[in-house]
Amino acid sequence: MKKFCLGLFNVSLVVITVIMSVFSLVYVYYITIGKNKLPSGVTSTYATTITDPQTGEELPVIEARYYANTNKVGYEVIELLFNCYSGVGKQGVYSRGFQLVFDKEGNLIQDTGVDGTSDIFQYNKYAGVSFETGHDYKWGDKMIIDIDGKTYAVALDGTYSTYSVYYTVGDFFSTLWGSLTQQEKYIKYHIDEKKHNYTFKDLLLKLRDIIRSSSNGTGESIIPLIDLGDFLHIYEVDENGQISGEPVGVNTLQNSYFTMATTYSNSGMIWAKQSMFESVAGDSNFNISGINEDVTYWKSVTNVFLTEKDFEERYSTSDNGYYYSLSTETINELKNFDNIEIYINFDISNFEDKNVLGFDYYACYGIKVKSLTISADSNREFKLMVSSLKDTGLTSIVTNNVTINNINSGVEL
Amino acid sequence: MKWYCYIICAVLIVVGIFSTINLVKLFNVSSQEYGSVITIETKNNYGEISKFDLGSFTLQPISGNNYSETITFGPQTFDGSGKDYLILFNGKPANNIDSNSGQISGDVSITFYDLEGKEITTANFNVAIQYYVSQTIITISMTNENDSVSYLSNYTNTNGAVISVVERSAT
Repeated sequence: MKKFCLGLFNVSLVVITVIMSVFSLVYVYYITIGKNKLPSGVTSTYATTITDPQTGEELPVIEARYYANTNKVGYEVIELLFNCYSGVGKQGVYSRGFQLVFDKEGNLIQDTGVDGTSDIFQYNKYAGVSFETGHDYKWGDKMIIDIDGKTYAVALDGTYSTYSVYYTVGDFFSTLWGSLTQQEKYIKYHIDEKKHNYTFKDLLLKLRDIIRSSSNGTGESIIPLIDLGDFLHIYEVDENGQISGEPVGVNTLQNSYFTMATTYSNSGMIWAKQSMFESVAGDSNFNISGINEDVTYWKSVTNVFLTEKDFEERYSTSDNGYYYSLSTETINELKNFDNIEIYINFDISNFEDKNVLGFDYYACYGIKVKSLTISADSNREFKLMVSSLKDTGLTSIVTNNVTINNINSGVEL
Repeated sequence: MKWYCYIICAVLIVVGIFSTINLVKLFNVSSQEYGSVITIETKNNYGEISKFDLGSFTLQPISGNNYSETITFGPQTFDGSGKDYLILFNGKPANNIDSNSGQISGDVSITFYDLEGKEITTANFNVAIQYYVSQTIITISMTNENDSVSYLSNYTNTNGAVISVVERSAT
């Protein structure tokens, strides 16, 4: 009985082993020469925006800035900013920045930090506080984002392969058509595959190509979807905050789409203010622009210059001449703007063959005027009719070859 | 069976189980979507009335005290003939508007005041817009007088720079 049971066990074991071996062979077949016969799938992730929990502001997941330095007066700089959360609790936005800098001669400037030399400079920003350099992000580190309100992680962990072909020369003894002792040379070709990790430098250079080739031109714009699936992969995060060990869509073609806000300039970066990190090559005082940073002011006002062309005329038969008032179009236009200062330069000499008498009643309709200059090429009298300058705020008039006849204009001169 | 036959069987079964699990995974792949495409309004409003968000542009030194910056945008339609247009810089009007078929230019003047309300300097700069079939080119140029480039750069860093072209009657 014992012998029978042992025999049955052995037979079963052999049968199971044979079946498992067949499965193993089938698996080896499909991951090698039968690769193309496998069913395929496409996994697409859309990481578009994240919401700042403190301000409610919606931010694009990635922002990029490229200064091409085609004018060769500054530095060529490529910048990338990941807007991601400080942790799976999504309490705040912790933005991570990466910067690649080439000097005026086109040489790459390296970051020689305490952790060694790096091709890129890194910056971090928490909750809108200015950027600082600190923790360096490394290949495979996860950054927390959300996609449609669900928490995910994104990591730069893409790889690529390079292939090198070489040959070796060996000897063999011809056995078929030649003599057994005849030694012949042969060439054997080899293909070597090497796997590499994509670096942040690779990613920044890729973004440079994307921005350059975009039809948006220079200035600020949004590229709604770019596929960075070769570089970046998305990982699921469960309710316990555990990040999955493998990216979503493993065994499928992975498309990692991102929305990217871009700034593109053909010019070079000449001062740190142009950088989204307000720092170039780790130097927040970088300034080769000749622009003085140490300037500040209380307020700025836009100046509007009006001339006699902005006035309309009225012919007076009793005085046999023309009186002028600001045109209705000009008045209506000026009413739309605040924080402007109006300068009027009324040059009588620009009126040919017209007897210019002066400003008409309510000529300025109470528009605030910073300065009024009335000039002529020869001595003239200029009348300011009743209320012509009322509520303009003027206290004086600049004249040139003009004598003012102030007929209760609303301004004491 | 010999004792080593059991070990070989065990190893083959373990490898078989691993292969079977992976085979199931390989044959069960499916296409999936995570998230959805959203549309963010682009700042280049093609086809609409000309409006250009320059962000915080920085003027580049050209020669001597002259500074300039050129920014290109996508193509926009504009016909300056027969109509009266206005250039607005951050919503404020430019002066000396000159427009013809495919281009328009104007002078912007911004005065900066100190805490006592005294004038510090005035930044006078020219804005020229050229509408080509393939792109729109904006050139901003000025002469640096009394640090006016520095003040304008600080101004655009704080306020940004948006240039609009509107019909005069539309203001």
